[in-house]
Amino acid sequence: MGTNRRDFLKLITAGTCGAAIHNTLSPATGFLAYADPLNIAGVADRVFVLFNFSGGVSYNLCPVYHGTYRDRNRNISYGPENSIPINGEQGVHPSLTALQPIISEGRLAVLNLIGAGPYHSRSHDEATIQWHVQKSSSTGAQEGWGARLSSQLQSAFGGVSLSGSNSLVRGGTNPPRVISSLSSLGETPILWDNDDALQLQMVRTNLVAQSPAAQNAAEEHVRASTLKLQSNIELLRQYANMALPVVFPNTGLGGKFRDAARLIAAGPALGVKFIYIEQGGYDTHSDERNRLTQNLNEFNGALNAFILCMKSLGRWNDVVIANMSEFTRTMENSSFGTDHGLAGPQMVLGGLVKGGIKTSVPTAQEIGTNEFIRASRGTFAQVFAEIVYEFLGFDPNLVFNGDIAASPYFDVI
Amino acid sequence: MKLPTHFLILLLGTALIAPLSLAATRAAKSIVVSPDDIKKASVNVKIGKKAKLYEISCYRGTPGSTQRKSSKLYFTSYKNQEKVLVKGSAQLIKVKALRKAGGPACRDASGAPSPQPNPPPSPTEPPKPEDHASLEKYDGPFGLAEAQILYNRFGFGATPAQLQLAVNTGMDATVERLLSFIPEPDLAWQLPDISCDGWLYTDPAAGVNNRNCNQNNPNDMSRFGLRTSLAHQFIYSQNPFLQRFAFFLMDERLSVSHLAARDCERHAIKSYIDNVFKAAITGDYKQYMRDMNKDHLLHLRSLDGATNRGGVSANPNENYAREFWELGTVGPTGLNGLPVYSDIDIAQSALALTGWNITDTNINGNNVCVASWVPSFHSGGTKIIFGGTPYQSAITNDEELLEATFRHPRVAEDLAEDIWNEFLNPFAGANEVQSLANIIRSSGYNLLPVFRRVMTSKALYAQRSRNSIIKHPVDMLVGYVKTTGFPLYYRRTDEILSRLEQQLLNPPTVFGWNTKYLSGEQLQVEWWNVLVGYFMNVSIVDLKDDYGWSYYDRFIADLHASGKRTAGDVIDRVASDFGIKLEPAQRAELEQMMNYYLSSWDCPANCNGMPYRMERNLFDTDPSADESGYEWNGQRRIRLLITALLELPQARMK
Repeated sequence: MGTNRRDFLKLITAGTCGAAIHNTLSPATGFLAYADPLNIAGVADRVFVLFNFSGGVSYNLCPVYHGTYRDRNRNISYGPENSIPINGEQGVHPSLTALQPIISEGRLAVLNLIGAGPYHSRSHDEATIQWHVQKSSSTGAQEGWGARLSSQLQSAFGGVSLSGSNSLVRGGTNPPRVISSLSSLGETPILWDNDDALQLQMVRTNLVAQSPAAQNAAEEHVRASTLKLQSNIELLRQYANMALPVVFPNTGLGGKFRDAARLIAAGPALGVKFIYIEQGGYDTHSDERNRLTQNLNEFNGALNAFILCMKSLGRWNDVVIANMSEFTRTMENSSFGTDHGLAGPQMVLGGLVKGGIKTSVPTAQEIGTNEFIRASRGTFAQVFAEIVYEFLGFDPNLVFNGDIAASPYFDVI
Repeated sequence: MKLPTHFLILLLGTALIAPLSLAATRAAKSIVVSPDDIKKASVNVKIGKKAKLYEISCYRGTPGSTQRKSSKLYFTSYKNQEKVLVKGSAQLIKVKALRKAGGPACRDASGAPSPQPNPPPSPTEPPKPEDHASLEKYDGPFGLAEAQILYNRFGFGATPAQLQLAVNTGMDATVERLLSFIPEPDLAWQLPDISCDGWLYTDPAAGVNNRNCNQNNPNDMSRFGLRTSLAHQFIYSQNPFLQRFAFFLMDERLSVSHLAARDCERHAIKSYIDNVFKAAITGDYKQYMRDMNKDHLLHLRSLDGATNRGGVSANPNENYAREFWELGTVGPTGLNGLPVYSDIDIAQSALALTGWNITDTNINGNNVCVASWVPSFHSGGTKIIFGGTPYQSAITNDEELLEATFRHPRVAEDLAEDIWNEFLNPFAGANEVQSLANIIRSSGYNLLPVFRRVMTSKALYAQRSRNSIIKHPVDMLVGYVKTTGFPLYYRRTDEILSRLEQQLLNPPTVFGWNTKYLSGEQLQVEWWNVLVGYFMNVSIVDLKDDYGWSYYDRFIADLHASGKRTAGDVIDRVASDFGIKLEPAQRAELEQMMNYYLSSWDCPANCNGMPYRMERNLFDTDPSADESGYEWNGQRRIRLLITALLELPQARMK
């Protein structure tokens, strides 16, 4: 990998002109480490895939090996003997075999105890909204940071949600498209009757094209929007059955990762740079061992196909996958499950990711004092800001609010 | 050291208040001109959310503004004004926009053809405005199309019975019906019942979820329930104008999200709703603003009134004071494009509004956050607002602020602009705004007589006004249910409106919703999804069996009885019911859709290699004419027809 943006800035700030450049480039938030995006060759096709383990994923996504953690999670924890080790302190869940080669290649970064900062909540709804919106206070409606990111992207398909509409992707001037299937641009399927659905599509194309000329600006806006929507549906449909070099699992999540692969493979024709995918079922209050394994097995199958596909297409270096989850979970409860916790583990992987354990694993003291871990090593906004800037080349100050002004680098990209 | 703004005012007095000097560091260069050299022009300028028509002055083709001082008329070009305005200031943005739009307008004004060939009317007979600009009484025919215009603009659409009654009784009677409040005993118990837990107790699905509201707990209400009850009354109220007027106040004037309220002050959400509906019933706009000045949710919580404290060392929190003027009353600029108030005025009015506090209180064992007025939090003394203008006033408190503000002519003008844009058309010029503003003033700011004039105006029914306003998502949803009578489950409305990004009581900003965004490409597909997901994907059989409702009964039975049998008859009927005017090519396309079924059965093997084939099956309103069973195929066609029609851009306009 060549000199990246951060290295570039470090170099220039080391010289006499550094301060002047910072003063010129840094936005008012004082986010000194970040400056305006630079037009570095190669970033145009890069895609940030955000995956949400919805429900609050257990820390056993990335099991901690030391004794205190094992003791507090006697029936559900893992050791190096039955998980996939990253190093002697921590590994990944045994279901995640797709990550084994990525760890070997040094392209999996794990960040411990990443949360939503001072506003973190242990309520599903509130915590999810915090992760989606990155609020700076406890009240007020705001647009999601996914929508804020997408608003920076010029393409109609710059941001895409393959998992429905939510607070992450609502608002902004160019919110991510919510696409449930590439053949329909998120149109809800007509139940029981595919023939009606197909006929409606055909009729709509003609009807919209035949709509009367606008007589005023308001009519023109609505008509132009409808025509643009229709043309974008047809554009997207071209990629609905695109042949891929890898067969994806025939699961719901497999289909979403397959659609993500097609969106990425379409390249500049669609200009996708941000994809959101979600999988539910991680609210494992009981029987966590089986339920977590079952969910992660499905995730692993889809992820494995996606990684292989990206590598086969020569696009692995163009992709970063990072996860979110509204919170991690407590230590084991009496139902062999876990309850709602706070900051948790975060994984970042991709062809350009600098792998390793980036923030230290929870200490015995941190684990031992509470049923959940109160410590935090950083916020998701800090991690995602680094991806947005270092990988996508966009100004994170336009995406995340001032809470990340004092952001340290995690050196993930 | 930074001095508090109000302290600066004491030092400076009111001497420096001249509109354009507020954000300027020095005066803009002006020249003395003869009134004969000044031509007036109107320009439509959009700044932020709102487009407004401004009257500007042109001097030899150059746009600018004029000001009379000591019997002399001074002209200041916008270009010169730009030079002295603070970079990034709202005034500079506005002046730039006026200059840009004013250039062509002034050139046109200067190069206007000689009046000789078409002499103007004599001064005693001013030119009559075109119909779309006229508030004169409409005297044309009042048929279904006109009744739909009236109800679409002033009532979220109408049921077929309401439209028929309107046509039968005529415009005046219909308008009186819309303006008269009818007590609604059913809603009187349904709304609080839904508000407290989101369930109707008569709903078989409610079960244990329904519970009796706790009268001893002021916060015993659910946010979902409040939103759902609001949508419920929008759909089913027999006072459609009341509902639409309330929505207008919530959206276009001062907007607030229920999310601003903490759980301990959910009661404030209900109080806010009550205040809005009180205003809608009485029409008393001045009282509405008086209530907003004390409103817990809007003023004290959302716009920081509870932390706006007086005192020598305190800086006032100007949040509410700014919106009180910008959105609630005078608006930021006048028809001449100049600022109505200064930042100093805002600081002064903020001081007048100080004195409120919100504290935790125990009521019957419940933690309730209540608002109270604390004299020691109020900033005493006299404050000067609209300084240096004919409307300069000395005030001490919120009531005096209200009275002084309502003496300013801009209150009526700003209201008039919003009413034109929301209910009539977006073409109003300064003259039209002034005309409506005069009516507002003469009614003492009671908007019911104003709406009577608007509802019966030529402007409303003028050809040019038709399809000139974009419907809100809530217009689309409520209109669908009213037009069809479709038995939409009441607990679904909040979900649908959220998908369409118009969750009630939760506008995105204090400016309310932006219909351009809501009708943009990204959200149109969501409307299509709503049509399919919530209306098409409901079993026709279940609709009949569970709710006694069918497409046949609603759209076909009477057609068949009157001998109308073809697809064209049905298309005309359904399009007319929804008020959609089709192009001939669109009608032909829909006829084909109704008469030819797409079938993928046994394809491509027996379809010449194609994935589907078209099978001719002429639509007939006679159920017995359909061999495959009318109840299924005929009704399925109509369902498809409605969906296709409502996906059209025409369906989005009113």
